Amino acid sequence: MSLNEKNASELEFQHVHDVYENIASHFSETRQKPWPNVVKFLSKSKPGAIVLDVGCGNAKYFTNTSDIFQLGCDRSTQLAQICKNRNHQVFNCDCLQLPIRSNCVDLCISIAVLHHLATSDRRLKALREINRVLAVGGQALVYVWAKEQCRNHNLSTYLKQSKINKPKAESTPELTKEFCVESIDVNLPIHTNRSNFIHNDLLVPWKLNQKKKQENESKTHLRYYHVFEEFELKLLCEQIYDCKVIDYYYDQGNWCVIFEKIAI
Amino acid sequence: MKLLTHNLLSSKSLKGVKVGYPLRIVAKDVKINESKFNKEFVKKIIPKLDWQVFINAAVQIGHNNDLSDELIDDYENNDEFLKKVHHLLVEIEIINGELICPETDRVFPISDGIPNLLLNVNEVP
Repeated sequence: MSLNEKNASELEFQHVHDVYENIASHFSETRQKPWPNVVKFLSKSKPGAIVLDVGCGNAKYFTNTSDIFQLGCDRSTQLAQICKNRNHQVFNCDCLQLPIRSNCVDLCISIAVLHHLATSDRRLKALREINRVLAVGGQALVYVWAKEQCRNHNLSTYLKQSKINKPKAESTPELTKEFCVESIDVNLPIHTNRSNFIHNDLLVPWKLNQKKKQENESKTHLRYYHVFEEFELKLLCEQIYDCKVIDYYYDQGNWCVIFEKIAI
Repeated sequence: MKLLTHNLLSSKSLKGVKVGYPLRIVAKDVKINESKFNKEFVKKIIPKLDWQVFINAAVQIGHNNDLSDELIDDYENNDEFLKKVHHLLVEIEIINGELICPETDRVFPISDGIPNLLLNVNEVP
């Protein structure tokens, strides 16, 4: 999919930012369990470390330690409010413009954020911003959704949760429905939840829970995703001259990179 | 927003802004949250601060104290000093107020302790 900056920004506004504002409390209820490998990465922090979570959501990677300084940011004011209510330091910003001075962050994570950006240039820009705020020697861990949801014959957690898909990995997809994002005149496929990805750019339905449904007549929100192919995230990082890829791996349906800011 | 957070924030992403640091603070509502003094943390965080920005910020929000513009030598062994830094850095919380870009005077509101640094489409270069 090829979009200009204006249309990419419009798509993200309607099908990412607006959706998270609407689903924030339900989203937060369903996002309690941290990924073990992210926790492991964060456990590398030394006393006095400045740790930034870009797209911190409901603050699920914050801990209660006073040994480090944890700071989160999110586009969604509703999600930031949830973090604040849990007594964490948080501010609102867009990951394309981090309002943080350069070279000051020791560890940074950005989990399930970059796949909401609608062009390759914007995904690279977000990585550049993370690298810019890192101190030399500082490291970042980035998770994005993988197009491949079945690897080495193992189904990802995402597919395993399906009631329909459980017995077989490669289910034949139904006829793809499309949704027209009228303001930018682009048709995007609507993904069938808990199935393999066929497209790289798509809309994933979010159904609000039962309680909300009654108030809000079974409202379904469509979130925009760009799902990443095998080396895509790594290749983006390799375009940043003062950044070195330390590790690249597949974890439960995500492509994950650890990179370090290097001195030039 | 704690003063430690303020020490890291910048408005450099605004169109036409060269440095965007430090942001001026207007504090309308300030709260003190007592927290346990972690000496090791304070010792390790001090070299990462822009010290003058930190002291000026404390003055701006009316929590002036006897800490000087110049960081003292041998602060690592001065518990009294480290406790003062701890208080200013992590116990003071700005609940409502404003952050202001030093070059453009663009105001970023702080409400319920959360600074909003989201930019409009036309403010991005």
